[in-house]
Amino acid sequence: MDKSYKLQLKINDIRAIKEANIALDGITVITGENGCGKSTISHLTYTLLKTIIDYDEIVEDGVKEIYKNIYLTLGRVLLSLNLPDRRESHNQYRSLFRNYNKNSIKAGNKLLLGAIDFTIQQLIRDKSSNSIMDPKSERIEMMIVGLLKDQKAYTIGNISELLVELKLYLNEILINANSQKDELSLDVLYDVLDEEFHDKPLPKTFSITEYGTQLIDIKENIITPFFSVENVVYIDTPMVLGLPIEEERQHWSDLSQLLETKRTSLNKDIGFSNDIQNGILNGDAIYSDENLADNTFIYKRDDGSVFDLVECATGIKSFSILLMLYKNGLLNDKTLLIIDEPEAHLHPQWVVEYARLIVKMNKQFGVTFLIASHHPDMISAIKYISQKEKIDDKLHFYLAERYGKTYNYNYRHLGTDIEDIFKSFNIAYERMDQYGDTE
Amino acid sequence: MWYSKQVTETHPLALKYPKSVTDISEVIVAEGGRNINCIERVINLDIVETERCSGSSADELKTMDIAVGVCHGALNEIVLCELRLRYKSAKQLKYSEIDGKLRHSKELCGQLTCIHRNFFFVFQDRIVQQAKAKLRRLNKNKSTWLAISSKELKTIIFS
Repeated sequence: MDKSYKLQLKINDIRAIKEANIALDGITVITGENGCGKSTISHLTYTLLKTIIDYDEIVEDGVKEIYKNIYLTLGRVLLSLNLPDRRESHNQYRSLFRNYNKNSIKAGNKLLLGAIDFTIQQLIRDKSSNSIMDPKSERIEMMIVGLLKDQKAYTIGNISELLVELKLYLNEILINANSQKDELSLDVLYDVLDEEFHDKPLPKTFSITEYGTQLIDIKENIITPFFSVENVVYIDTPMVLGLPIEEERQHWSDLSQLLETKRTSLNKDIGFSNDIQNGILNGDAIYSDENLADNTFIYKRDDGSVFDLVECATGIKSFSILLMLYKNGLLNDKTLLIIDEPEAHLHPQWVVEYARLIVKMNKQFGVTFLIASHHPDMISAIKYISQKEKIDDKLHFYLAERYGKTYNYNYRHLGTDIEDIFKSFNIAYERMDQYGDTE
Repeated sequence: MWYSKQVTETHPLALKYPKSVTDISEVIVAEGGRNINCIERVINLDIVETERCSGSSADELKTMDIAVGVCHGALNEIVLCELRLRYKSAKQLKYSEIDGKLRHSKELCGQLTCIHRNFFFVFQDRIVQQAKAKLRRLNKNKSTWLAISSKELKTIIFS
């Protein structure tokens, strides 16, 4: 029987990955040449875990998006009516129903049902709007049909009837959402994966286990929630810190939100903060919301100078992110921190400091890590510092090895033995000898 | 490059300190490695240095472990090797220590025979690749400090 790890991700035949069976229990480091699928593993792990952790929120966000569309469309319908007090009617509509997305989706549903009734009342006041002869009627009907699930099934003819259909549809949405939340359907996960990996549909050839128990059951189409992980953070580049986030990179906006939001259970031990502030940054990194018009991440250097972190060196950003995650209470034994190439942009001395902090965060706070790295110093520093700190029993190195002459890779579990990783790195020296005068 | 018993045994150090001439397998085993079943003779520089200093006030200097006579093209050369078979990791390698050992070994071997341009550092199989990387870093990426396994030592010099 295989050893049961905290989490274990199995992937077959997805993008460049032929087979990967990755343990997430302590510190996991995956390595291999460019294009071997390391980032796919990081991104897929993040998406799977994040979706399962935020499952209810994702379902509700989908419903709220539909609610928003209904609310805005009904507003447009009201403005299209021939009413002497059209503006007042629309203002009344807004004041009565604008909080449709502020509370639960059930409360939102109730408000929007009221909004539909309100619209029907206004339609009755506009005698012309239900007349087939009135050209604007057709336009209004098209607006409402656009909201309904199966748009082709509805024939245009009576606005009030369409609005009754809309009420039925609204109830159906709520019932479906509640049912999805109860059943923990895999369909929600598949929808998120389709959005995240949009180049072509992702094969459903992955699974995730928690202490040996399957959490994604493709046959039964259900998900089981985790208990060992409550937060998942994905840092693929520190460059995003403070930049306006593009919506298609969900993990960037998630990271930004985590850095901006202070939690109630903040880390009280200031030792770790001091380590980064005094030993590395020579200053502090904070998110400033003092001026609401200009929220920003700030680096306060110990000589009193203050800088916008966007303008700071990328290495400063890398450590600032760790510091802010810590200060915001996100470094704990329920956190999985996924970092792609943490060594990027760092001076060799800081590569080792970063590795030291990874080991420290695991030992001191119990943070689980998935690291993708190319760097000999990062690899060896994680190994030897873990060894010294006596946590190397939970250290897992993986090397991506090309499968025959294909462009696909198998990920081999090396345990704590990094010799074969260095063998692959040392090819660089052969190239250096080939191209340069190194004697 | 191939091994030369004659170059080894007629080197001034071998002639002056005959006790220092020993089988390579013996030195490897004494340094913590596995027997490579090779009886070719080498000069044990540790013994040379001990004998050189015995009965005098001179301090023993750190040297590479062995010197081996080879023929390299038309030249006779001495290859210097360091046996690091007890090392558990490559992190124990220090530039100043290696540099000092190389300097003293070159002085000891004298000018009569050329010193081969590459210096060999022999490690256990399980850390050879890490040692290769570390030695390149220590030697500013030059290729003249080579980490090898004892098996490779046998192949490169003695076969």
